Amino acid sequence: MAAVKNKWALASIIILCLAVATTLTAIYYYYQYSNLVEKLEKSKAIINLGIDYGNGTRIWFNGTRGLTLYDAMLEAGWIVDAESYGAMGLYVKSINGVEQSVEQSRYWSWWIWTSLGWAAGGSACDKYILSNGETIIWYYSYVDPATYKMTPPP
Amino acid sequence: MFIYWMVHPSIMLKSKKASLIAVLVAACIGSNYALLGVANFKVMDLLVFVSGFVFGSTVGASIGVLTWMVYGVLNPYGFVPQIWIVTMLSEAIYGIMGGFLAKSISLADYSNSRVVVRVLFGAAGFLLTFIYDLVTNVAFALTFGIPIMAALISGIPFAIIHELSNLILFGVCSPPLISILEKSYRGFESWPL
Repeated sequence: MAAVKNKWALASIIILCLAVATTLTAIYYYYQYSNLVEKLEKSKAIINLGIDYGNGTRIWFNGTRGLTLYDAMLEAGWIVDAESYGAMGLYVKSINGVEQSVEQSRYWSWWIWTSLGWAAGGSACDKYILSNGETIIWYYSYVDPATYKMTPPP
Repeated sequence: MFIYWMVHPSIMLKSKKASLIAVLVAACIGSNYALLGVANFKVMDLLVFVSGFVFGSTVGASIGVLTWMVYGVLNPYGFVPQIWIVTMLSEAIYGIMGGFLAKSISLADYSNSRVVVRVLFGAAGFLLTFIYDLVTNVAFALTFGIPIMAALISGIPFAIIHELSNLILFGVCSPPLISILEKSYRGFESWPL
């Protein structure tokens, strides 16, 4: 068989096998990826997201979708400046150009509405997995420098 | 007369061939049951291919069909007539291509370049298994009313294991098996071990 003696023909056969194997693997992982993205998209929660700048301006973004609170903030079109603290998550320093102020002791914090009123968010915004129907607000809160107690939104 | 019938070379050869075929079919069926716990790793494909290489396409294909005829009916995973027929016919591809390859190459010419032939056998195993998996997965999808693309994609990991295992098996085991079968059948080896 001439093809066997021809090195190029043999190399082509090997490359064909490799091409088949890699194509199959690529198709499989592409499908897995698409499937995962689709599932994640479906599992996104719809929440009522608000922002309170602490000066009487409060804007609501009802029906915002997201997997985490950070996703929802970006989905709402906010400009967020955050610093990563590794496993602890993101620390939000500025939202829509309003930066935290050490001098005025005002920091961004998020709060969730409960039957007892506003409760402070217990984790970093990118670590908090949203549930449907939640009402969450970002508040430019005053923090008491002596007690480090945050003022809840009005 | 009886002794003549027993010792006549052509008759001897035929009975030898028949018994070798029976042994190969038994080996295929036995190995299938023995390897039930190992997903998508089968020695049967190699045996059918080698049979086709030594005895010709018709015999090779017959061994594939006969094996599935038994194994398909007494299949621990269940008996589905449509899939049974398709696997029987698909398995024959190994035998047919084995016979075709035997006609195309002479192993004696490659006694100094064994690696080349091993690569060729490995590639043949890989590509034939790819065709086999493609055909059987399509048959599976049509039988159970599953979208063909979904069946093909979900079958990819199993297909890759099957194809890679056959690539290695065909590449490593084909030449020695061919030698043994040729020695048993014809009395000489075209690929001395």
